[in-house]
Amino acid sequence: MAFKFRREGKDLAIYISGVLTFHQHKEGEQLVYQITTLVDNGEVDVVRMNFAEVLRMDSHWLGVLIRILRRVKEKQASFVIEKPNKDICKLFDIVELNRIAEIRP
Amino acid sequence: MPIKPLTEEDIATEFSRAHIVIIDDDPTNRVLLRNVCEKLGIGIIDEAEDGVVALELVTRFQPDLILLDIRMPRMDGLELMRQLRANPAFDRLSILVQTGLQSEDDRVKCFNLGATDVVSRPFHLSELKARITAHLRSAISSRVLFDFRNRIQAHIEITHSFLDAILPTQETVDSLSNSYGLRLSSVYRPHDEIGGDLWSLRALDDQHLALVLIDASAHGLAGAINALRVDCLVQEYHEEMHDPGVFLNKLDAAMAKISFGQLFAGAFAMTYNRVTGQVRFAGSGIPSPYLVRNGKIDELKTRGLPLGSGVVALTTAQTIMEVGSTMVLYSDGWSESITEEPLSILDRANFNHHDLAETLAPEGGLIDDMTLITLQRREDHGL
Repeated sequence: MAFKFRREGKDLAIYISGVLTFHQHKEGEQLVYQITTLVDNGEVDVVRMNFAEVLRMDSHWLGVLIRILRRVKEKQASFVIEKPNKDICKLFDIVELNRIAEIRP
Repeated sequence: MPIKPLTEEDIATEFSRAHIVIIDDDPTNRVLLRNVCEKLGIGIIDEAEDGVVALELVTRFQPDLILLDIRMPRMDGLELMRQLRANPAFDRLSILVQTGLQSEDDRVKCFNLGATDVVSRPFHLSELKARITAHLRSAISSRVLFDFRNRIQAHIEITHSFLDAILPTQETVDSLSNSYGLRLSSVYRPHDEIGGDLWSLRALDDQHLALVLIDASAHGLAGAINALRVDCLVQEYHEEMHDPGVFLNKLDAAMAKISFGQLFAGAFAMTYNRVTGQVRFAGSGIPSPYLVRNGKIDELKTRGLPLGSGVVALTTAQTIMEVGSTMVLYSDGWSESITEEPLSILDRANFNHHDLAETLAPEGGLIDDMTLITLQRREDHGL
Protein backbone atom coordinates (compact mmCIF):
# COMPACT_ATOMS: atom_id res chain seq x y z
CA MET A 1 0.00 0.00 0.00
CA ALA A 2 0.99 3.63 -0.31
CA PHE A 3 -0.47 6.95 0.71
CA LYS A 4 0.15 10.50 -0.41
CA PHE A 5 -0.82 13.71 1.38
CA ARG A 6 -1.96 16.85 -0.39
CA ARG A 7 -2.85 19.98 1.55
CA GLU A 8 -4.65 23.05 0.35
CA GLY A 9 -5.11 25.45 3.23
CA LYS A 10 -6.91 23.56 5.95
CA ASP A 11 -8.13 20.89 3.57
CA LEU A 12 -6.13 17.65 3.76
CA ALA A 13 -6.55 15.04 1.03
CA ILE A 14 -4.98 11.60 1.48
CA TYR A 15 -4.73 9.36 -1.58
CA ILE A 16 -4.43 5.74 -0.51
CA SER A 17 -3.69 2.86 -2.84
CA GLY A 18 -3.30 -0.90 -2.70
CA VAL A 19 -4.51 -3.50 -0.24
CA LEU A 20 -5.28 -2.48 3.34
CA THR A 21 -4.96 -5.47 5.62
CA PHE A 22 -3.39 -6.28 8.95
CA HIS A 23 -0.10 -6.85 7.13
CA GLN A 24 0.01 -3.09 6.53
CA HIS A 25 -0.48 -2.30 10.22
CA LYS A 26 2.73 -0.24 10.43
CA GLU A 27 1.53 2.01 7.63
CA GLY A 28 -1.79 2.28 9.45
CA GLU A 29 -0.08 3.48 12.62
CA GLN A 30 1.91 5.98 10.59
CA LEU A 31 -1.24 7.27 8.95
CA VAL A 32 -3.05 7.65 12.28
CA TYR A 33 -0.05 9.50 13.73
CA GLN A 34 0.34 11.88 10.82
CA ILE A 35 -3.33 12.76 10.55
CA THR A 36 -3.94 13.11 14.28
CA THR A 37 -0.87 15.32 14.64
CA LEU A 38 -2.18 17.70 11.98
CA VAL A 39 -5.68 17.67 13.45
CA ASP A 40 -4.47 18.10 17.04
CA ASN A 41 -2.36 21.11 16.01
CA GLY A 42 -5.38 22.69 14.34
CA GLU A 43 -3.61 22.65 10.96
CA VAL A 44 -6.49 20.98 9.13
CA ASP A 45 -10.25 21.08 9.53
CA VAL A 46 -11.25 18.80 6.66
CA VAL A 47 -9.79 15.32 6.19
CA ARG A 48 -10.63 13.63 2.91
CA MET A 49 -9.46 10.07 2.34
CA ASN A 50 -9.53 9.07 -1.30
CA PHE A 51 -10.13 5.33 -1.68
CA ALA A 52 -10.29 5.24 -5.49
CA GLU A 53 -7.12 3.14 -5.67
CA VAL A 54 -7.80 0.91 -2.68
CA LEU A 55 -8.43 -2.65 -3.77
CA ARG A 56 -9.37 -4.36 -0.53
CA MET A 57 -9.67 -3.55 3.15
CA ASP A 58 -10.05 -5.72 6.25
CA SER A 59 -11.40 -5.21 9.76
CA HIS A 60 -8.04 -4.04 11.08
CA TRP A 61 -8.17 -1.04 8.77
CA LEU A 62 -11.73 -0.39 9.78
CA GLY A 63 -10.26 0.08 13.24
CA VAL A 64 -7.67 2.46 11.80
CA LEU A 65 -10.42 4.53 10.16
CA ILE A 66 -12.46 4.61 13.37
CA ARG A 67 -9.47 5.88 15.36
CA ILE A 68 -8.86 8.66 12.84
CA LEU A 69 -12.55 9.45 12.62
CA ARG A 70 -12.97 9.76 16.38
CA ARG A 71 -10.00 12.07 16.73
CA VAL A 72 -11.15 14.22 13.81
CA LYS A 73 -14.66 14.49 15.32
CA GLU A 74 -13.28 15.34 18.76
CA LYS A 75 -11.52 18.30 17.17
CA GLN A 76 -14.70 19.38 15.36
CA ALA A 77 -13.08 18.75 11.98
CA SER A 78 -14.88 16.90 9.21
CA PHE A 79 -14.06 13.55 7.73
CA VAL A 80 -14.94 12.33 4.25
CA ILE A 81 -14.22 9.03 2.52
CA GLU A 82 -14.21 9.34 -1.26
CA LYS A 83 -14.71 6.78 -4.01
CA PRO A 84 -14.57 3.44 -2.19
CA ASN A 85 -15.06 0.44 -4.50
CA LYS A 86 -18.06 -1.91 -4.38
CA ASP A 87 -16.55 -4.40 -1.91
CA ILE A 88 -15.42 -1.70 0.46
CA CYS A 89 -18.84 -0.03 0.23
CA LYS A 90 -20.33 -3.36 1.29
CA LEU A 91 -18.07 -3.43 4.34
CA PHE A 92 -18.96 0.19 5.19
CA ASP A 93 -22.61 -0.73 4.81
CA ILE A 94 -22.32 -3.66 7.25
CA VAL A 95 -20.78 -1.42 9.88
CA GLU A 96 -22.97 1.56 9.04
CA LEU A 97 -19.96 3.83 8.70
CA ASN A 98 -22.14 6.29 6.82
CA ARG A 99 -23.85 7.12 10.11
CA ILE A 100 -20.71 8.68 11.46
CA ALA A 101 -18.73 9.60 8.35
CA GLU A 102 -19.59 11.15 5.02
CA ILE A 103 -18.99 8.67 2.22
CA ARG A 104 -18.92 10.06 -1.33
CA PRO A 105 -19.17 7.59 -4.19
CA MET B 1 16.05 -13.69 21.34
CA PRO B 2 14.60 -11.41 18.63
CA ILE B 3 16.00 -11.88 15.14
CA LYS B 4 18.37 -9.16 13.95
CA PRO B 5 21.03 -8.82 11.26
CA LEU B 6 24.32 -10.45 12.26
CA THR B 7 27.23 -8.05 12.78
CA GLU B 8 30.84 -8.95 11.93
CA GLU B 9 31.40 -9.48 15.64
CA ASP B 10 28.42 -11.86 15.78
CA ILE B 11 29.82 -13.73 12.78
CA ALA B 12 33.22 -14.09 14.45
CA THR B 13 31.54 -15.41 17.59
CA GLU B 14 29.42 -17.80 15.54
CA PHE B 15 32.54 -19.00 13.66
CA SER B 16 34.20 -19.76 16.97
CA ARG B 17 31.21 -21.97 17.85
CA ALA B 18 30.83 -23.44 14.36
CA HIS B 19 31.43 -27.11 13.70
CA ILE B 20 33.03 -28.44 10.54
CA VAL B 21 33.78 -32.04 9.60
CA ILE B 22 36.61 -32.67 7.14
CA ILE B 23 36.04 -35.94 5.29
CA ASP B 24 39.04 -37.13 3.27
CA ASP B 25 41.02 -40.36 3.15
CA ASP B 26 44.28 -38.45 2.52
CA PRO B 27 45.84 -37.33 5.84
CA THR B 28 47.83 -34.59 4.07
CA ASN B 29 44.65 -33.06 2.68
CA ARG B 30 43.01 -33.23 6.11
CA VAL B 31 45.94 -31.36 7.67
CA LEU B 32 45.80 -28.72 4.94
CA LEU B 33 42.06 -28.24 5.33
CA ARG B 34 42.29 -28.16 9.13
CA ASN B 35 44.88 -25.36 8.88
CA VAL B 36 42.58 -23.37 6.61
CA CYS B 37 39.65 -23.82 9.02
CA GLU B 38 41.73 -22.90 12.05
CA LYS B 39 42.89 -19.70 10.33
CA LEU B 40 39.23 -18.80 9.73
CA GLY B 41 38.59 -19.06 13.48
CA ILE B 42 36.32 -22.10 13.25
CA GLY B 43 35.98 -23.52 16.74
CA ILE B 44 35.18 -27.21 16.30
CA ILE B 45 36.92 -29.22 13.60
CA ASP B 46 36.48 -32.96 13.27
CA GLU B 47 38.02 -35.33 10.77
CA ALA B 48 36.86 -38.56 9.15
CA GLU B 49 38.81 -40.77 6.76
CA ASP B 50 35.82 -42.29 4.99
CA GLY B 51 32.05 -42.04 4.58
CA VAL B 52 31.23 -44.58 7.27
CA VAL B 53 33.06 -42.68 10.01
CA ALA B 54 31.72 -39.41 8.62
CA LEU B 55 28.10 -40.59 8.68
CA GLU B 56 28.41 -41.48 12.34
CA LEU B 57 30.04 -38.14 13.20
CA VAL B 58 27.56 -36.07 11.21
CA THR B 59 24.55 -37.95 12.57
CA ARG B 60 25.77 -37.58 16.14
CA PHE B 61 26.88 -33.94 16.08
CA GLN B 62 24.92 -32.28 13.25
CA PRO B 63 27.75 -29.95 12.12
CA ASP B 64 27.23 -26.68 10.24
CA LEU B 65 29.37 -27.63 7.22
CA ILE B 66 31.17 -30.66 5.85
CA LEU B 67 34.15 -30.57 3.49
CA LEU B 68 33.72 -33.75 1.51
CA ASP B 69 36.11 -35.72 -0.69
CA ILE B 70 34.54 -38.04 -3.28
CA ARG B 71 36.93 -40.93 -3.75
CA MET B 72 37.26 -42.73 -0.43
CA PRO B 73 37.32 -46.38 0.73
CA ARG B 74 34.32 -48.14 2.39
CA MET B 75 31.80 -45.40 1.57
CA ASP B 76 32.58 -42.73 -1.02
CA GLY B 77 31.44 -39.11 -0.95
CA LEU B 78 28.58 -39.66 -3.41
CA GLU B 79 27.03 -42.41 -1.31
CA LEU B 80 27.47 -40.34 1.85
CA MET B 81 25.63 -37.42 0.22
CA ARG B 82 22.88 -39.77 -0.96
CA GLN B 83 22.36 -41.07 2.58
CA LEU B 84 22.53 -37.65 4.21
CA ARG B 85 20.09 -36.01 1.80
CA ALA B 86 17.65 -38.89 2.22
CA ASN B 87 17.34 -37.83 5.85
CA PRO B 88 15.24 -34.64 6.35
CA ALA B 89 17.34 -33.84 9.44
CA PHE B 90 20.19 -32.92 7.06
CA ASP B 91 18.20 -30.83 4.58
CA ARG B 92 19.97 -27.68 5.68
CA LEU B 93 23.48 -29.16 6.06
CA SER B 94 26.00 -27.35 3.84
CA ILE B 95 28.10 -29.81 1.87
CA LEU B 96 31.18 -28.40 0.18
CA VAL B 97 32.61 -31.08 -2.09
CA GLN B 98 36.37 -30.85 -2.63
CA THR B 99 37.40 -33.20 -5.39
CA GLY B 100 39.93 -34.05 -8.04
CA LEU B 101 37.08 -34.98 -10.41
CA GLN B 102 37.23 -32.44 -13.18
CA SER B 103 34.56 -33.37 -15.73
CA GLU B 104 31.36 -31.36 -16.03
CA ASP B 105 29.30 -34.56 -15.65
CA ASP B 106 31.00 -35.42 -12.36
CA ARG B 107 30.39 -31.97 -10.97
CA VAL B 108 26.75 -32.00 -12.06
CA LYS B 109 26.36 -35.42 -10.44
CA CYS B 110 27.64 -33.95 -7.17
CA PHE B 111 25.08 -31.14 -7.32
CA ASN B 112 22.30 -33.56 -8.21
CA LEU B 113 23.12 -35.62 -5.13
CA GLY B 114 22.81 -32.57 -2.91
CA ALA B 115 26.18 -30.80 -2.87
CA THR B 116 25.90 -27.16 -1.86
CA ASP B 117 29.06 -26.32 -3.81
CA VAL B 118 31.97 -28.05 -5.54
CA VAL B 119 35.60 -26.93 -5.42
CA SER B 120 38.26 -28.59 -7.55
CA ARG B 121 41.66 -29.75 -6.48
CA PRO B 122 44.37 -28.59 -6.59
CA PHE B 123 43.06 -25.87 -4.26
CA HIS B 124 43.60 -22.19 -4.58
CA LEU B 125 43.80 -21.47 -0.88
CA SER B 126 42.28 -18.00 -1.03
CA GLU B 127 39.34 -19.31 -3.07
CA LEU B 128 38.85 -22.24 -0.69
CA LYS B 129 38.84 -19.87 2.30
CA ALA B 130 36.33 -17.61 0.58
CA ARG B 131 34.02 -20.53 -0.21
CA ILE B 132 34.19 -21.99 3.31
CA THR B 133 33.48 -18.53 4.74
CA ALA B 134 30.53 -17.94 2.41
CA HIS B 135 28.95 -21.33 3.11
CA LEU B 136 29.49 -21.09 6.82
CA ARG B 137 27.89 -17.62 6.93
CA SER B 138 24.97 -18.97 4.97
CA ALA B 139 24.69 -21.99 7.29
CA ILE B 140 24.77 -19.72 10.35
CA SER B 141 22.09 -17.40 8.92
CA SER B 142 19.98 -20.39 8.04
CA ARG B 143 20.36 -21.76 11.58
CA VAL B 144 19.42 -18.41 13.15
CA LEU B 145 16.30 -18.23 10.96
CA PHE B 146 15.44 -21.86 11.61
CA ASP B 147 15.73 -21.37 15.38
CA PHE B 148 13.61 -18.23 15.14
CA ARG B 149 10.98 -20.05 13.11
CA ASN B 150 10.89 -22.87 15.67
CA ARG B 151 10.38 -20.41 18.51
CA ILE B 152 7.54 -18.68 16.64
CA GLN B 153 6.02 -22.06 15.82
CA ALA B 154 6.08 -22.96 19.51
CA HIS B 155 4.34 -19.68 20.38
CA ILE B 156 1.70 -20.36 17.72
CA GLU B 157 1.10 -23.88 19.00
CA ILE B 158 0.66 -22.69 22.58
CA THR B 159 -1.75 -19.93 21.48
CA HIS B 160 -3.56 -22.51 19.34
CA SER B 161 -4.09 -24.66 22.40
CA PHE B 162 -5.54 -21.65 24.28
CA LEU B 163 -8.03 -21.08 21.45
CA ASP B 164 -8.87 -24.76 21.19
CA ALA B 165 -9.74 -24.74 24.87
CA ILE B 166 -12.32 -22.00 24.22
CA LEU B 167 -13.90 -23.27 21.02
CA PRO B 168 -16.73 -25.74 21.65
CA THR B 169 -15.64 -29.36 21.36
CA GLN B 170 -17.66 -31.68 19.14
CA GLU B 171 -18.87 -33.41 22.30
CA THR B 172 -20.21 -30.09 23.67
CA VAL B 173 -21.82 -29.24 20.34
CA ASP B 174 -23.50 -32.65 20.12
CA SER B 175 -24.64 -32.60 23.71
CA LEU B 176 -26.09 -29.06 23.62
CA SER B 177 -27.64 -29.62 20.18
CA ASN B 178 -29.46 -32.65 21.49
CA SER B 179 -30.50 -30.94 24.69
CA TYR B 180 -32.01 -27.97 22.86
CA GLY B 181 -33.57 -29.75 19.89
CA LEU B 182 -31.13 -28.43 17.31
CA ARG B 183 -28.91 -29.78 14.60
CA LEU B 184 -25.74 -27.71 14.66
CA SER B 185 -22.82 -27.89 12.27
CA SER B 186 -19.83 -25.62 12.04
CA VAL B 187 -16.65 -24.93 10.12
CA TYR B 188 -13.81 -22.96 11.68
CA ARG B 189 -10.84 -22.21 9.45
CA PRO B 190 -8.19 -19.67 10.32
CA HIS B 191 -6.50 -17.84 7.45
CA ASP B 192 -3.03 -18.45 8.91
CA GLU B 193 -2.10 -21.21 11.35
CA ILE B 194 -4.29 -19.51 13.92
CA GLY B 195 -6.80 -16.70 13.69
CA GLY B 196 -9.06 -14.17 15.34
CA ASP B 197 -12.43 -15.86 14.95
CA LEU B 198 -14.09 -17.38 17.95
CA TRP B 199 -17.48 -18.83 18.77
CA SER B 200 -19.03 -20.31 21.85
CA LEU B 201 -22.17 -21.98 23.09
CA ARG B 202 -23.59 -21.64 26.58
CA ALA B 203 -26.64 -23.19 28.22
CA LEU B 204 -28.33 -20.27 30.00
CA ASP B 205 -31.08 -22.33 31.59
CA ASP B 206 -33.24 -25.34 30.75
CA GLN B 207 -34.94 -23.44 27.97
CA HIS B 208 -32.37 -21.04 26.57
CA LEU B 209 -29.15 -21.63 24.71
CA ALA B 210 -26.78 -18.74 23.90
CA LEU B 211 -24.42 -18.56 20.95
CA VAL B 212 -21.76 -15.91 20.40
CA LEU B 213 -19.67 -15.45 17.25
CA ILE B 214 -16.68 -13.10 17.38
CA ASP B 215 -14.44 -11.91 14.56
CA ALA B 216 -11.59 -10.05 16.28
CA SER B 217 -9.46 -7.65 14.27
CA ALA B 218 -6.13 -8.82 12.80
CA HIS B 219 -5.03 -12.24 11.60
CA GLY B 220 -2.64 -14.89 12.83
CA LEU B 221 -1.07 -14.56 16.25
CA ALA B 222 -2.28 -10.97 16.73
CA GLY B 223 -5.83 -11.98 15.77
CA ALA B 224 -5.73 -14.91 18.18
CA ILE B 225 -4.50 -12.69 21.02
CA ASN B 226 -7.32 -10.25 20.29
CA ALA B 227 -9.84 -13.10 20.23
CA LEU B 228 -8.57 -14.31 23.61
CA ARG B 229 -8.87 -10.79 25.03
CA VAL B 230 -12.45 -10.54 23.79
CA ASP B 231 -13.23 -13.96 25.23
CA CYS B 232 -12.14 -12.76 28.69
CA LEU B 233 -14.79 -10.05 28.40
CA VAL B 234 -17.36 -12.53 27.10
CA GLN B 235 -16.79 -14.55 30.29
CA GLU B 236 -16.92 -11.39 32.40
CA TYR B 237 -20.32 -10.37 31.02
CA HIS B 238 -21.86 -13.79 30.39
CA GLU B 239 -24.73 -13.07 32.76
CA GLU B 240 -25.94 -10.43 30.30
CA MET B 241 -26.29 -12.97 27.50
CA HIS B 242 -30.05 -13.23 28.10
CA ASP B 243 -30.24 -9.90 26.31
CA PRO B 244 -27.86 -10.04 23.33
CA GLY B 245 -28.05 -6.28 22.61
CA VAL B 246 -27.15 -5.34 26.18
CA PHE B 247 -24.45 -7.99 26.23
CA LEU B 248 -22.74 -6.68 23.07
CA ASN B 249 -23.06 -3.05 24.22
CA LYS B 250 -21.22 -3.99 27.41
CA LEU B 251 -18.50 -5.74 25.43
CA ASP B 252 -18.15 -2.67 23.20
CA ALA B 253 -17.76 -0.30 26.14
CA ALA B 254 -15.32 -2.58 27.93
CA MET B 255 -13.20 -3.09 24.81
CA ALA B 256 -13.07 0.65 24.09
CA LYS B 257 -12.08 1.30 27.70
CA ILE B 258 -9.27 -1.22 27.96
CA SER B 259 -7.73 -0.73 24.58
CA PHE B 260 -9.20 1.93 22.38
CA GLY B 261 -7.78 1.80 18.92
CA GLN B 262 -6.12 -1.59 19.19
CA LEU B 263 -8.94 -4.02 19.78
CA PHE B 264 -11.99 -4.26 17.55
CA ALA B 265 -14.32 -7.13 16.80
CA GLY B 266 -17.38 -7.88 14.78
CA ALA B 267 -19.79 -9.90 16.87
CA PHE B 268 -23.15 -11.65 16.75
CA ALA B 269 -24.93 -12.91 19.85
CA MET B 270 -28.21 -14.78 20.13
CA THR B 271 -30.34 -16.78 22.49
CA TYR B 272 -32.56 -19.63 21.36
CA ASN B 273 -35.64 -20.83 23.19
CA ARG B 274 -36.01 -24.56 22.59
CA VAL B 275 -39.75 -24.60 23.41
CA THR B 276 -40.99 -21.62 21.42
CA GLY B 277 -38.23 -21.43 18.78
CA GLN B 278 -37.80 -17.76 19.63
CA VAL B 279 -34.45 -16.28 18.67
CA ARG B 280 -33.33 -13.01 20.24
CA PHE B 281 -30.30 -11.55 18.57
CA ALA B 282 -28.01 -8.58 18.03
CA GLY B 283 -24.91 -8.08 15.93
CA SER B 284 -22.47 -5.41 14.99
CA GLY B 285 -19.59 -5.17 12.54
CA ILE B 286 -20.30 -8.63 11.20
CA PRO B 287 -22.41 -9.83 8.25
CA SER B 288 -26.06 -10.42 9.01
CA PRO B 289 -27.06 -14.07 9.39
CA TYR B 290 -29.69 -15.69 7.21
CA LEU B 291 -32.79 -17.55 8.28
CA VAL B 292 -34.02 -20.13 5.81
CA ARG B 293 -37.63 -21.23 6.33
CA ASN B 294 -40.10 -22.84 3.97
CA GLY B 295 -37.71 -22.32 1.08
CA LYS B 296 -37.52 -18.57 1.74
CA ILE B 297 -34.27 -16.88 2.79
CA ASP B 298 -34.48 -13.85 5.09
CA GLU B 299 -31.58 -11.72 6.23
CA LEU B 300 -31.66 -11.04 9.96
CA LYS B 301 -30.49 -7.44 9.74
CA THR B 302 -27.63 -6.52 12.01
CA ARG B 303 -25.71 -3.35 11.36
CA GLY B 304 -23.24 -1.28 13.33
CA LEU B 305 -19.63 -0.43 14.01
CA PRO B 306 -17.32 -3.10 15.33
CA LEU B 307 -17.23 -3.61 19.09
CA GLY B 308 -14.40 -1.56 20.57
CA SER B 309 -15.41 1.63 18.82
CA GLY B 310 -17.21 2.64 22.02
CA VAL B 311 -20.29 3.98 20.26
CA VAL B 312 -22.21 0.78 19.60
CA ALA B 313 -25.80 1.07 20.83
CA LEU B 314 -27.61 -2.11 19.91
CA THR B 315 -31.11 -3.21 20.65
CA THR B 316 -32.14 -6.83 20.68
CA ALA B 317 -34.26 -8.03 17.79
CA GLN B 318 -36.23 -11.24 17.68
CA THR B 319 -37.66 -13.79 15.31
CA ILE B 320 -39.02 -17.31 15.38
CA MET B 321 -37.25 -20.38 14.09
CA GLU B 322 -39.97 -22.72 12.96
CA VAL B 323 -39.37 -26.45 13.02
CA GLY B 324 -37.15 -27.36 10.05
CA SER B 325 -35.84 -23.83 9.55
CA THR B 326 -32.13 -23.08 9.48
CA MET B 327 -30.01 -20.17 10.64
CA VAL B 328 -26.71 -19.54 8.86
CA LEU B 329 -24.22 -17.44 10.81
CA TYR B 330 -20.80 -16.51 9.50
CA SER B 331 -17.82 -14.23 9.81
CA ASP B 332 -16.93 -12.19 6.74
CA GLY B 333 -14.17 -14.66 5.88
CA TRP B 334 -16.92 -16.81 4.37
CA SER B 335 -18.56 -14.21 2.14
CA GLU B 336 -15.11 -12.91 1.07
CA SER B 337 -13.84 -16.35 0.16
CA ILE B 338 -16.77 -17.72 -1.82
CA THR B 339 -16.93 -16.90 -5.49
CA GLU B 340 -20.63 -16.12 -5.64
CA GLU B 341 -23.21 -14.33 -3.55
CA PRO B 342 -24.18 -16.06 -0.28
CA LEU B 343 -27.81 -16.11 -1.34
CA SER B 344 -27.16 -18.12 -4.49
CA ILE B 345 -25.16 -20.68 -2.50
CA LEU B 346 -27.95 -20.96 0.08
CA ASP B 347 -30.53 -21.11 -2.68
CA ARG B 348 -29.27 -24.46 -3.95
CA ALA B 349 -27.97 -25.88 -0.65
CA ASN B 350 -29.11 -29.24 0.61
CA PHE B 351 -30.35 -28.35 4.07
CA ASN B 352 -30.80 -32.00 4.97
CA HIS B 353 -27.08 -32.64 4.82
CA HIS B 354 -25.71 -33.69 8.20
CA ASP B 355 -22.56 -31.53 7.82
CA LEU B 356 -24.38 -28.60 6.27
CA ALA B 357 -21.73 -26.02 7.16
CA GLU B 358 -19.03 -28.13 5.52
CA THR B 359 -21.02 -28.28 2.28
CA LEU B 360 -21.36 -24.48 2.24
CA ALA B 361 -17.68 -23.76 2.94
CA PRO B 362 -15.40 -22.83 0.04
CA GLU B 363 -12.92 -25.40 -1.16
CA GLY B 364 -10.21 -22.92 -2.10
CA GLY B 365 -7.92 -20.76 -0.04
CA LEU B 366 -9.16 -18.17 2.42
CA ILE B 367 -8.37 -14.48 2.47
CA ASP B 368 -9.60 -14.06 6.05
CA ASP B 369 -10.42 -16.21 9.07
CA MET B 370 -13.69 -18.01 8.49
CA THR B 371 -16.36 -19.34 10.80
CA LEU B 372 -19.60 -20.72 9.44
CA ILE B 373 -22.30 -22.14 11.68
CA THR B 374 -25.65 -23.61 10.76
CA LEU B 375 -28.41 -24.17 13.30
CA GLN B 376 -31.48 -26.18 12.40
CA ARG B 377 -34.53 -26.57 14.60
CA ARG B 378 -35.52 -30.21 14.91
CA GLU B 379 -39.00 -31.50 15.54
CA ASP B 380 -38.34 -32.38 19.15
CA HIS B 381 -37.75 -29.76 21.82
CA GLY B 382 -34.77 -31.52 23.27
CA LEU B 383 -33.96 -32.16 26.92
